[in-house]
Amino acid sequence: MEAKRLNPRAQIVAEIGQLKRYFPSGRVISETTDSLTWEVRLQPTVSSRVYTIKLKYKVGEYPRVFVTDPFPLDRYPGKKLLEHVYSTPKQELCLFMRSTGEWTRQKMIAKTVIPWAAEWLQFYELWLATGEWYGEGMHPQVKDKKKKDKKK
Amino acid sequence: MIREEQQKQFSEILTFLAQQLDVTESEFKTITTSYEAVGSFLAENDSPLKPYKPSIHPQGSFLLGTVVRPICEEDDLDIDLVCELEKVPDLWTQYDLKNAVGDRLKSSELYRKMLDEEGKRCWTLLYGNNKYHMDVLPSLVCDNYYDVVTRYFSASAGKDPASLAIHITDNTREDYRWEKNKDRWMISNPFGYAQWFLASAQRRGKVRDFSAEAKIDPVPKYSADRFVLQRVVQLLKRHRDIMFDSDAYKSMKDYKPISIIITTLATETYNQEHNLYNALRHIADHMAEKVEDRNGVKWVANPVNKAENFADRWPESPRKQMFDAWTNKLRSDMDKLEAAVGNGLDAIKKVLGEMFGERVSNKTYEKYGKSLVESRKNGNMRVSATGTLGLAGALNVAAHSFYGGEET
Repeated sequence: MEAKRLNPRAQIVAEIGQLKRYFPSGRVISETTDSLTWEVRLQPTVSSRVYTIKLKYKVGEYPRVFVTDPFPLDRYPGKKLLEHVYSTPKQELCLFMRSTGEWTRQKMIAKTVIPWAAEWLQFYELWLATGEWYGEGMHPQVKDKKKKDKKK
Repeated sequence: MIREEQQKQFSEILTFLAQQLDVTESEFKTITTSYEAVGSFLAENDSPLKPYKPSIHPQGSFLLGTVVRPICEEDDLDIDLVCELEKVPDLWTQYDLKNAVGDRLKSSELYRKMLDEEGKRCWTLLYGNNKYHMDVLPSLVCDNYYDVVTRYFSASAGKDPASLAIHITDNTREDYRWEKNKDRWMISNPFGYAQWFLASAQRRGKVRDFSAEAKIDPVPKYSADRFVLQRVVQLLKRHRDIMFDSDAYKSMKDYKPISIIITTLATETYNQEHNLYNALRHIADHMAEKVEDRNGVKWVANPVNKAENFADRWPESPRKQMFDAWTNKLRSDMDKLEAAVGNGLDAIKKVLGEMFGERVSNKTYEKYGKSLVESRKNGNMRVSATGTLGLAGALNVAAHSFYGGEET
């Protein structure tokens, strides 16, 4: 059982342990006392493509997930942007709402973020087929969008 | 060959697809209300038909549970009904029987307005607001016919389909206006055929949630679930409709394989598969082998009347060639579907769109996608070591919301 708050090194070791346990075909690309980069191939449904995702995690920050293969991901014809990503060019996935407790440091990445990435890929294929995102989820507030538009 | 889990996923998607082709519950209720009303009107106390105990029952795809909606949304659903009369006068000819029913319908202001041009064997009622039409087939039946039908459907052994045969009229026949001997009239056997089909479907293939004890019923009751064989027939008919609506085959539409031939061959080929995809694949691969060759003449015998050949119009037309073209295309389309495995759900949908139509494939994916979210919300979605989602896997997918929008 994980302690209430592990020190960063212990956190990283625990995370790697769980990732290896549940997704043994993944590999650690780099590791420091308080961060890790890990990569794995996921096939979201039995008839789906196989995708490569890269996880970047630094203790104290939110885990970040990127699709590195295919790169770039195909879009539904006519759509420039992917759905539910932080960045279409970087292909960084938006898998949970921050500050809501959906993901916290106590929750192991292997048990939360990686399955959510598989789910994202599943709905991505359905979106690619139809142009519609069936996985539900939320879009940022309108005022955030207006701020972004202003930045342009 | 695709793996079992892939066959299961195809079956799941194809089940959603076939559901889109079927009548909805509200359509089912409306149609039932409509035909029961016609039946009541024919049997009312002041109806001239009352002495002959008229009743109306559905036959055809509505009874078999194999209705497919027309490709074009604006087109009507086609519902087939039998109007059974008993003990009609000895001197009645086919003309008399047909018009006894027709005259009664015309005596109602309501039905008179709904009647289409008289058909060869039927009267057709057009239900404009409700987007369906009903073909009413006047027929002469034995005494207490419907009791005979009900017993036949529920008994498990000793079936003589001829006992359910009915006499029908055909106004293109030379003897239409003068033949009083009913034994010389044309016969048909819609309920015998339906019992054969439903028993074949039930004996072998339960779909999940479908009660094993469900008795096959001569009067259809609404169910969202169907037997595997019913779903296969729906998919086959739809595939045929799409093919003969396409530019390449539109001009040959009149010669497309008829539904009774498709249904009969599929039922004879069906090998008790519980998996919809496997059943469809097997039937696609082997149904043509069930066409008999009797001294150079192609036969698809009516299983409840072996003297009747459903393929009797094949010789003088391109129908045989169109049947072959259809089965060939079906097999090659299923090969394409299998080849799409591993290329993503979008690649699969492309093939489904070509086979069954764009709109229905879109709707199918919508239903499929929503069922996946529901599954996760219900705590039933698991993930395996390869990141594959489904019912098996070491991890449960926890609750979360996809978020985002782009940050610059």
